[in-house]
Amino acid sequence: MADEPLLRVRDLSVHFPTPDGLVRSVDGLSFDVRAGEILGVVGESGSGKSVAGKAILGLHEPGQSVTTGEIRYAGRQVVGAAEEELRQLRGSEIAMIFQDPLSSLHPYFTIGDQLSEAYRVHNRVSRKAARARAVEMLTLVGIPAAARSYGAYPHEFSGGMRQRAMIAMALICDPGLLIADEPTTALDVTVQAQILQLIWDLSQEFGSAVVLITHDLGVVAETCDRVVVMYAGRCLEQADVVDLFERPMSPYTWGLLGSIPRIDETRGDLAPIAGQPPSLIDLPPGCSFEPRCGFAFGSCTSERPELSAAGSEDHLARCHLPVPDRQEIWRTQIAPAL
Amino acid sequence: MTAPLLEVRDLRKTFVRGHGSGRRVVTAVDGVSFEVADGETLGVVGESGCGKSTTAGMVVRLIEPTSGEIRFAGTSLVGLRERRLRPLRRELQMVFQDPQSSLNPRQTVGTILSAPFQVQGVQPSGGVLAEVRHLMERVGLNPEHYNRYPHQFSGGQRQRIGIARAIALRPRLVVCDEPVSALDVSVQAQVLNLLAGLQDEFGMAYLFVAHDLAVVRHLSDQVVVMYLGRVVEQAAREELYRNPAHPYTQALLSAVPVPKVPEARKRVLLTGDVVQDRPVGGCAFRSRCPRFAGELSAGDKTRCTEETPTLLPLSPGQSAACHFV
Repeated sequence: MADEPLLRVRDLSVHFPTPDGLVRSVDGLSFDVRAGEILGVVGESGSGKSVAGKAILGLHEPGQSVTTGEIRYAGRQVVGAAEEELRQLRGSEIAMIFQDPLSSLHPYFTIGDQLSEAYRVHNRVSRKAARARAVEMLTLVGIPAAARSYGAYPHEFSGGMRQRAMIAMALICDPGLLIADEPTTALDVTVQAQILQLIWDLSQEFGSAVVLITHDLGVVAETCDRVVVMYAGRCLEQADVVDLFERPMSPYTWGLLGSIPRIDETRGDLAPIAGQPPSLIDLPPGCSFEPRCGFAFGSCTSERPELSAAGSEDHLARCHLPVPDRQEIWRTQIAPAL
Repeated sequence: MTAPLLEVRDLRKTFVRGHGSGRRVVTAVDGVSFEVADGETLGVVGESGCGKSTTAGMVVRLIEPTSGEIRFAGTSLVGLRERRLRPLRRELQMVFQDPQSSLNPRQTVGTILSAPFQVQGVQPSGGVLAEVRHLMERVGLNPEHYNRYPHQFSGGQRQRIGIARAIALRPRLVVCDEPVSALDVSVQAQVLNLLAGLQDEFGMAYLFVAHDLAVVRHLSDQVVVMYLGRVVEQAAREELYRNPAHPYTQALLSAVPVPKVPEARKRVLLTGDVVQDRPVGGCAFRSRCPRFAGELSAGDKTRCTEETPTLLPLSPGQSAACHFV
């Protein structure tokens, strides 16, 4: 193998035992993140995308969940690593930003103090140097009058400014990987555009890879290089962003694309996916999407499909339908109706 | 010419926040006017704090307007007493954003859906029970689940219950306030198709309030764009989405990410965000307006600073509130 990816996830499972049964939030997930790339992880509620994101940072309490499989960051195994080792990794190597910046910022401390602290945890520098670094980061993420904003409390910032501050905090130690979990979902669309642009610009400038977790295929199309489509804890498709939107190879991806009203054209009736996602306690024995799939046949109900090449080496999908059949269905039935 | 089903004129709502020296008046809706024709959908779109939900609340009289006029089917709703308002509620219904908090958790679906018939004293020909079961079927719920409670349904199904309640008495206008924003895309599409199908079948009008411009495009005949309490642009759907006139509408439309492979798209990135830098007097959008920041001459800018633009017709069916469109 030529070069090891920055992040390598293999057969990752995160299961939560509950009184009702074992919740399989993430079940056999594999993907790579290469240095400097933006990987989109897209899925609906309960697809396991956020649970997987937290697992990369080792944020699941061992007593309340069972994480198995392999997460290797720059050659270091995260699953099962000691808390001390994880603590070193978090912030300095892998950083995370969340959907709601207000609940991830401490209300009692100023934005600047929280930034400086994040820097000093991983770097032996004076308070003064940390402060200078924090002001520099605030400027970089586009916060006006950074020196004055240093002393502001989170409640004094608007939603967009708080998310900028979170991004500044996440990038202050120059991590190799940023995990952004629905970073723009709580924001207005004009502010979302600013924040996505910022994440993109900074990933170019710092060379950080980004895992962008989102429910919005539009955000994926405009921001990401590669995409993982998740459904009920499993990856149903992963591909280069161009392949995913021009030649999707999973009936679930077709369903998502058929469900979205478009801003750039007036569509006729939407073609929604029938029914609801399955219970994560009682997953179907075969393909997890089979109960809602319009193309399911015999073996879909009983056999779990493997993630396999679909069209090109880099394009993987989990579906029993033969690849030529799927190409034909996409070309003749799905694409014309979009 | 027939009168529109709903006519809103110069609607205004101010809220008083704080008290003593911290007391200040917030103008949530500032002189909004529009009409909804029978059987049509008017989409109201804007970002948080633009006053769209307050406007919806005033139309159904859940919020008392500070001033202005709301005429529904020829009757003025402002100041109307509850006793006179009640018969009108048969014709004027609402679907809320969060079905969780707009359905009583201690009532079964059957009870929730029979309530409109009881409150209005309507006796459907086959009896209330049969009608409720029919309604459940029509909105895509299993009528056998009549005795279940809201928490036993998924989010999408709960929104179907809310819709069934709103259409139970065949109203002429349904006000929908962000009815699909809490739903996942696959379920959202189901509910959007349901709303469209019900309109085809029963011919009611929708006042459809949402922040999602694509959803609004999908359902609306006419669209109103609001910014900080005022209408900045109003047009027929295709006009608005193909030739947006107001700089805010242009920026808003270009900010929406499109789920297809990106070709280079010219994006108008606005600076700042809505609430923090609301300017006083003149055009409220100027603090974020790319034209104000760029091409306009000093003299033109004075006009933006001093004179509040009014909504003026540009062409038949399209108006915008900007001095320089």
